[in-house]
Amino acid sequence: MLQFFLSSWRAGFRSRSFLAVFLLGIALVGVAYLSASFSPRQPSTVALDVGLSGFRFCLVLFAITLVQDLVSREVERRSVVLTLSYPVHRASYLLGRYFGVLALTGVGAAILGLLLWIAVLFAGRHYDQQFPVALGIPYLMTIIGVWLDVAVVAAFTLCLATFSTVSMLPLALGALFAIAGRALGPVADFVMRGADGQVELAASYGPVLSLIRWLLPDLSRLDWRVWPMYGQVPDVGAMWLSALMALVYVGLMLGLSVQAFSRREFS
Amino acid sequence: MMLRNADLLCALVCFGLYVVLIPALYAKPRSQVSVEMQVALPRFVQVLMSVGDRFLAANLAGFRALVVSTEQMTPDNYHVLALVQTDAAWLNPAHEDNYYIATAILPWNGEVAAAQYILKLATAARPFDSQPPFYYGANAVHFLKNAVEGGEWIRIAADRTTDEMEQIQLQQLAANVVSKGDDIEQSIRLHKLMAKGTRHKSFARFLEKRIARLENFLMISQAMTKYQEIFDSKPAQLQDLVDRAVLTSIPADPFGMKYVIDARGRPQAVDPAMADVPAPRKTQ
Repeated sequence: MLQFFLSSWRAGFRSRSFLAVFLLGIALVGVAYLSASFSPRQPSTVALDVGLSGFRFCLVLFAITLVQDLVSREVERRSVVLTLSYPVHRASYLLGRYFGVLALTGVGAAILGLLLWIAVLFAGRHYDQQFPVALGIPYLMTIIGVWLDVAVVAAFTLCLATFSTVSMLPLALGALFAIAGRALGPVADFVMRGADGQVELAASYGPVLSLIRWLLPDLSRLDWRVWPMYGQVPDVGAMWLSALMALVYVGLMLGLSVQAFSRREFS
Repeated sequence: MMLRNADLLCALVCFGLYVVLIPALYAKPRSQVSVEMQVALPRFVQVLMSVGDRFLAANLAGFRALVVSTEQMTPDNYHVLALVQTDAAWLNPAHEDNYYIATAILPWNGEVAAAQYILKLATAARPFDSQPPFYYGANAVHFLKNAVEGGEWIRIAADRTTDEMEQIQLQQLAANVVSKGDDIEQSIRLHKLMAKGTRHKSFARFLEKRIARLENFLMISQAMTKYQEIFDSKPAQLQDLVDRAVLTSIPADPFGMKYVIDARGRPQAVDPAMADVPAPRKTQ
C-alpha cells in the first residue's frame, strides 16, 4: 500500500491538475482579499468568509480531479491491469491511492490555508474592526473541518470510479455530491421549518429530504467557520459527531470501493 | 455533387440568414438593465447557485444590498431589497454588514418588519454584540411606537456592552423609553430588572425612585378606574379622588414633582410651579 501511496504522491505533484487548481486557489484568495473592500464594518471577516468558500471549492475540485487522474484514468487507459498483474492485493492499490489523495489535499489545504491567513491579515490592516477574527486554533479547526469534508467527497468519487465505465462520470457525480451534501443542511433547514410559509413545498419535499438525509451526509455540519469569524465556539459534541459521521461515511465508501474493485474484471 | 456540397450550402444559407437577422435584432430596443433591486431568488436556489455554500450565498446577497443604487428605488424595489436582506440574514444571521445596512435603509422606507426580523436574528446569532438589540429597540420605539418592547431590547443591549459608562447610558435610555410607555405594570417590572442588573449604585437608586413613581401612577390609575365605575364620569382633577374617598391621599412623588391628570386622562408628574398650566410639561 505504501508504494501506491508514494506513487500517488509523486504523480499528484507532477499532474497538471495540481498546478491548475493551485493557481485557481491563489486567484480565489486574491478575490477574498478584494472582497474585503465591499464590507463597511468587517473587512477581515468578509475576506475570511469569502476566502473559506473559495478554499472549500478549490480543495474539493482538487480531490476529485486527483481521483480522476490517479484511478479513473488508469482504469480507462488499462494501465491498472499492468499494475495489478503484480502480486498485490487490489485493496492495497485502492487504499494507497485514496490516502495519497488525502495527503495531497492536506498539502493543498496547508498552502492555501496559509495564503488565506496572510490575505486576511492584509485585508484588515487599514481598519480596526470592533470584533476581530480569530486566526489561531479556531481557524486551524475550520481548515481541518474542510479537509474532512473533502475526504468524504474523495471517498465517494473513488467509490464511483471503481465501477464506472465512463471516465468522466466520477468527476461529474463527485462534484454534484459535494454540492448536494453541502446544500443539504440549509435546504433541509428551510423546508423543515415550513419553507417560509410555502406549505405545499414543505409538504411535498419534506419526506423526500428526510430520506435523502439518510443517504447523503450533511457536509454543512463540517463547516465550522463561525468560530474564527465570530468567535462562537460550535457545540463540541456536534463537532465530534460530525467528524465521526464523516469518518464512518469514508469507511463505508472505502469498503464498497474495495468490494466493487475486487470483483471488477478488466478485459 | 449537390449532396457533397450540402454542408457548404447549409453554412452559406445560415450565414445569409445571420446577416439579415442581425440588423433586425439590433433595431429592436434593448431592455434596460436596472441598477435597482428587481429580483429575489428562492433561498435554496441561492444556496445551490453558491455551490451549496450558505455563507457564500449570504455574502453575495450582502454585496447586492451594499452596491444597490437607492437613488431611484420604488417601494417595490425596497420590498425586493428587504427580501434579499432577509434571505442573507437567514443564510448567515451573524452577518454584521447585513444587519447594519438593513438598519440604515429598510425601516426608513416602509420595511420595518424586515429590519426587525434581521435584527432579531442578529441579536440571537451575535450574543457579544450590543448593537442589533439596540437598533431593534430603537425601531420599536420610533417606528412601531411600542415603548415597552423598545425599552426591553435597549436593556438587552445595555447588558451586552462591556463599557460601564455606555451601559449606564443605555440603561438610562431604556428607563426613559419605558417610562413613556402605556403599560405601567410592565414598566415597573422592567425597571426592577434594570435596577437589579446594574452595578452602578446611584443609578440603581434613581431606578428605585422611578419604580416608586410608577407604582404611584399605577395606584392613581386604578383609583381613576374605580372612580369612573362608581360615579360614571372621569375625575376632572386628582383632588376629586380624595374628596370622594376613592383615594386616601395623593401620594408624594419621590422626585419632588406634583401629579396631575394630563390631556389624555393619565397621571403625569409635572414641575410644581407648572402644575396649573393647562399643557403639563413632563419631567424626569
